[in-house]
Amino acid sequence: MSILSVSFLLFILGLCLVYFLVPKRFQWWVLLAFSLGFYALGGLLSLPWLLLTALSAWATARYIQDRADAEKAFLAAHKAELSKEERSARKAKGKKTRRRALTLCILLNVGVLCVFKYVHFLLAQANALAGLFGGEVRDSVRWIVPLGVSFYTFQTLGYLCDVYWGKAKAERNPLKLLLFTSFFPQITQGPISAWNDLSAQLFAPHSLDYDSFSLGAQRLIWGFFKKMVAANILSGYVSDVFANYGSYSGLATFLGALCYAAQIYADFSGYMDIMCGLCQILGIRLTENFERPYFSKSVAEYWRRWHMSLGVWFKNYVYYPIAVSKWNQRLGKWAKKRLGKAFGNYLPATLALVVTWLATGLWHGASWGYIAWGGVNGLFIIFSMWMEGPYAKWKKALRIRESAWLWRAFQVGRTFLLVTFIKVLPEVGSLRDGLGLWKRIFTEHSLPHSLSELLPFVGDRRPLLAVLFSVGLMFLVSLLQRKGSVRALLRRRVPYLLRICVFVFLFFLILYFGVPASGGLGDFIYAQY
Amino acid sequence: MDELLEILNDINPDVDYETEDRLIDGKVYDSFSIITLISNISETFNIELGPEHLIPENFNSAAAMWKMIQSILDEE
Amino acid sequence: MHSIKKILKTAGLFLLLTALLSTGLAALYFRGECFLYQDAREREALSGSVTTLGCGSSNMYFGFRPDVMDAALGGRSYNLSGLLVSMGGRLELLRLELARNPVRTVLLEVSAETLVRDRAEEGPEGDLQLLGRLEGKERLSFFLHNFPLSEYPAVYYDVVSKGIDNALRLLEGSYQTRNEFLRDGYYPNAQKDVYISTWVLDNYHTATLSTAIRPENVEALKQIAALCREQGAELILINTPKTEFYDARYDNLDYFRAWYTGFAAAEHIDYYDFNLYRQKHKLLDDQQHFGDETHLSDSGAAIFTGFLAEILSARAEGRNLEPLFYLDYEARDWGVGYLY
Repeated sequence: MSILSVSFLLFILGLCLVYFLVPKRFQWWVLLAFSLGFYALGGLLSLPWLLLTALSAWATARYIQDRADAEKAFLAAHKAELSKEERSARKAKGKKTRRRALTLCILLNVGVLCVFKYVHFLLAQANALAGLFGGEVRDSVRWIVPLGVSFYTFQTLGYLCDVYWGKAKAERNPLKLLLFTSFFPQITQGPISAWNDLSAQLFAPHSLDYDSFSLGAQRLIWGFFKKMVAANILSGYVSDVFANYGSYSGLATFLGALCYAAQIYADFSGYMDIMCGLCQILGIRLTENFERPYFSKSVAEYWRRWHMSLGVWFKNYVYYPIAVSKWNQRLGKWAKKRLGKAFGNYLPATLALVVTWLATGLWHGASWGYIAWGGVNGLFIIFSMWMEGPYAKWKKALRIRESAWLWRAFQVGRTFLLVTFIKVLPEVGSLRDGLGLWKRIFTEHSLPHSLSELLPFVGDRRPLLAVLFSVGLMFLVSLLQRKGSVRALLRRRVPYLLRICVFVFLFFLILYFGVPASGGLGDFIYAQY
Repeated sequence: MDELLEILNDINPDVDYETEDRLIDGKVYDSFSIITLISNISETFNIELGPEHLIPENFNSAAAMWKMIQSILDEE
Repeated sequence: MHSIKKILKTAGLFLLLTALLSTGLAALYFRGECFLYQDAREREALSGSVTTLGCGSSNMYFGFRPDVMDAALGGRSYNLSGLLVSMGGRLELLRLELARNPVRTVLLEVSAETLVRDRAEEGPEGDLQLLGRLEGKERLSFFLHNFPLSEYPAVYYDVVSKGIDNALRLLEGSYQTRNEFLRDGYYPNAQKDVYISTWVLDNYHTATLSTAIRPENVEALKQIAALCREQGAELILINTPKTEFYDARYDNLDYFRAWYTGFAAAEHIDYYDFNLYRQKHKLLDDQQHFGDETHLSDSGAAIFTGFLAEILSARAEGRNLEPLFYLDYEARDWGVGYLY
């Protein structure tokens, strides 16, 4: 079901009504029913895969929990009789068994994910390889990728790892875990939540509350505004630039890249606002995914403020496990001895980062472009980690004050440009197309003589004004958000009736500019994951 | 405890480890520093630290870290 | 309880303000005549004087010139046609105009597409335009009878967004309350850069039109015939001329010719297919007189309306019109020279 449809509005209206009419202990049942219904509407054939992930994780987690509890009980009961070695041996054996179960479940689910996501990419590489020997590997696979497989697999495996590490208790009720896996506001584009956070929200009773309703509804409308007006109009411009940059000036192409930066932020964060707003009405608090990312002062900081839940997931389940693993620690010690303290400190982290970022790139897309994208991001972060010391020295020597307004503006501007260039790379088409676009920006220096030469991808004037207004409004809201919640600010400064008028105005903007722009264009960008 | 404080000051000397109790939640220590911290602690105290120990409660203050180290040593 | 009351109050106010604004915008849309097809005021001004009505879809919209008809035959003509007007829409317009005008002749344009059009597949666009053309209670009753519930959001969007267009026009100073695009309902089709193939013979009988005739279209046609009988107006079915390219290309035009001839005989009315008019391929040149494959251009419309008026005049005099037309498309193909 498309989010931008009357059917979806009716769907969430129905959900809210039923949710608050049923007795509180059935509320999570309602969420489960609507989530499965939403998923089935998106693709009934994909449902078995979702069920497979949820059930395999439920069973494995229970197994692991039961074994861990049994071991603990046994060791406590036989504390006096067992020697230290016997205790260690028993613990090691238990850990090995639990680890085997964990590994199997991870392999199963990651395997399913990889097969669906990467079958075309792998077949294309096999074909390229075969081509070297005059052979051919044809790709006739027509499987439909299960909706949200990248998101729900990660979220569920996160739960499993948390149980394995003792950070969470295994859920005994399979239906509760199924809700965690299939919760529809998160299924197509995240955020990826941790079990402890989300389960506390999902299974607690919720009452209808005016503040939650009002703030949630405001956020919902704001999300539709960002998504339908800003993102969808911009997506028309961006598609034009990506297809035609070869005949546009470098400056026009650069402006097109900036449009992409605005578009993907408006699209993705707009979706988040819609879902977080909806959940707020229901009394559920979803993990935030964005924190004014374009105000970041470094690429590393950017990744702590953009798609935050994914970054946190990779940090907890890929980066840390690799970085603190035994072999990596040993490598660090060896490096410290042979190559010096800096290497000793940074090498384990670097290796973990390389793996994390290549995986992040692959997660975003099955192509060399995305792998390159992940690699470039990783390189910047690794580089800035290594250069932390020298940077501090240079800044001191140049007498640059960290808190100086000008310096901070420089950092923000530099980071924004860097991040925009990097993110455009895999989006144009193939890796070669992305590099072609970069080349165009830097090598084509003609100056435009008219507005239509400067913005050749813009058609009608009115949608452009709508875009400028909406992006400007988003920027203003972001500036205000640094000091605190904008909705709270509205409540303090703007009278009740006027506040309603503001949102009525947004509604008509969405209707007039957003609906025509959303006729098939600009589907939620992250929804194919 | 002194050894622990030595490690901590080596990584970030500008923090008052007696009073600071939001080293992780307050983002005083970033993910690079945490890795360095973990490798140094495991080396110095000869213990194995795994992802299961990586919860904010264990690392938010020097005292919490010390408590975690002690409990690992006790179990062995 | 307190929460629920507050929620209802806020949601209610939001909906109320939205409804008020929407009503205002709808009024701006309906009051004005800024859109191509809006001609309510023109028709009202003429009411009581119209003697001939031309009604059809785009073929007639671009093809029937009331000024040429009136110059030839006297009287007062009006072109009731419109783009994408459904059969139900034509019925509604005719009902309205026949009630308030001394109409003697109704020229209803019919073609193969007319019978086959599927409203459910086509969507509401044609009927939405009619909403903008009608007034008052006709508009309301047309809305209630011609739109399924699932199309209500589309109707709302159409009316309100056109209202916003008009509001912006008001600010720019280009808001108009009289239609400036049409001439007595006729839209002059400027020669477009649409390529009309000259490879007529190469494309001879290479395509077939769908023959899935929809019962609702037949029913509406019958109702139009009944309406005209009731109001004492003479109904004449006409098929406007298409390009030679079109006439040669489709191999089953005779199917529809036979259908209409049968229908006309049953209803005791006349049917004239101007593609079979013996002079057609000499008087109308594909490249000069057509905007695209099926629609006449402004110059073509003048020529067509000219010989249409001649035919009507001859008919009124009681002359035999059979020698002026080919019997069917096969005879025509022989006559024009596609078959040897």
